[in-house]
Amino acid sequence: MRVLLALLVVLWAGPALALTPLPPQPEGVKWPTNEWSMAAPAKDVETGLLDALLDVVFSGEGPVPGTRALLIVHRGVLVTERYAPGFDADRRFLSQSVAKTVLGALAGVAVREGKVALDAPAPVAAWRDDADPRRAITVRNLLQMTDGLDFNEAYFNPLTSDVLPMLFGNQRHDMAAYAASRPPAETPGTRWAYSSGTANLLSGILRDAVGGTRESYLAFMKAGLFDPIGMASAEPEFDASGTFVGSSWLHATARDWARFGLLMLRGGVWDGRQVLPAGWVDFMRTPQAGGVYGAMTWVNPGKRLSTMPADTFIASGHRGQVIAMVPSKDLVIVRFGRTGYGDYDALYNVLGETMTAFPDVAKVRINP
Amino acid sequence: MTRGRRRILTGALVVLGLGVAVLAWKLPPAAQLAVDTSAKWACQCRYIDGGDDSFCVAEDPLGFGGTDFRFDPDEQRVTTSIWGLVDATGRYEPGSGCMVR
Repeated sequence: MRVLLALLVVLWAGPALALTPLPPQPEGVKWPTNEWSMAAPAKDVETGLLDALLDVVFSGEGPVPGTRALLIVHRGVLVTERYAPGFDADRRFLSQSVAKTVLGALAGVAVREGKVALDAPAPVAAWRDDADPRRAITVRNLLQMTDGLDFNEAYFNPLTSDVLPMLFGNQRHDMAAYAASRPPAETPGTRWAYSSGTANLLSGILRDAVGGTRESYLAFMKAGLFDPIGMASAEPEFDASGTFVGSSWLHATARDWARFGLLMLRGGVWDGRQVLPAGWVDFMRTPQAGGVYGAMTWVNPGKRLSTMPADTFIASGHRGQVIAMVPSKDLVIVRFGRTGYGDYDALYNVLGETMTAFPDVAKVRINP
Repeated sequence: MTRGRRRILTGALVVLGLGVAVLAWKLPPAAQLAVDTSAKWACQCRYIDGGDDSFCVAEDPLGFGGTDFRFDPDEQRVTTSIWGLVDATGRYEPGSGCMVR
């Protein structure tokens, strides 16, 4: 009976827990540290479908108006690069919350370097009192947004919002301190709640861990992430206290955003170098309770985004900024633009349909 | 004026006074937040991402027609104001980003 129960548990939990292996860079495809390898889509890509969907994406009057850049990286090669009129490869695009996934990657670098401990209490000066229940909050909780802090992410009511005064209002000068001042609402680790305050609190911890100044933080970001992958256009923004606004504000060209997506798809490996710690991307893309979020990264195990494969993991930002990584297809899709609030579902549907034009890695292995 | 009408008028004046007081209390911070937001957004758009003036005005997330934008590309800054009552200046500082002062 116990064996049967154990088998049932494995059968039930197995598919949900298993992560699709991250595909390595194919032999002979150079890493795009300096230049992207560019080519037309391979013969096993449904180019007719792909072209039709790209036309939909760029149609000003289609279901997802406002696309400004769309890049597709398949098997490490840039196979699609299109821009709306007025935009080009030299133009930077604002991350919005895509920055959170970059922040998650930077946290990995800090953990590997021993500057931050994943499961130790988050080193926040305002929480030093032994009686403060927030002392139980760990860096892992922050990365997974299960810290339990009371933070109102609403953008439409300045009277109740926490995110508006933090980003734009009278709390903008030290965003991490403001987030740290929020009272506890839940026991840490028990409830997921999306919070830009949490991201900036984590960023403040990284700032302190790498030297405590804007200059030292910027140097850490460049040396640990941007320079190794050739993300030369990356321009992070900081608050007056020297904290990178990791919730929202990182600017880069679409090609550089694609570099970041490829780094994630390759498990943090870049041209023979382990830029992010081994296993860190798996940690970031492992679903937490609720099944929509990993660590500073959106995930899709329950196919909430129904047209996208279940193994898709996503850096996603306000108004439709998207970097979608699909291990089962060795695919990265980068989309930047200005999508209406009511068009998010349509955007993700079209991007998911675009993914169907690309073959599964497993099928290629069976029938090359 | 009858006593009843006088009471109605008094009540209306009290409600109006309360409304004005609430507006006077809440509106300035909300208006300041609005110009701060627009200054940040326009500065990012213009001096980091490379948009032109008209594009960056159209990008204003508030879409509030009463906001005035003045770009100063030599100083890499933008000043936003609402009817001259409140204003904010965003300035691009290399290595830091757009800081709103």
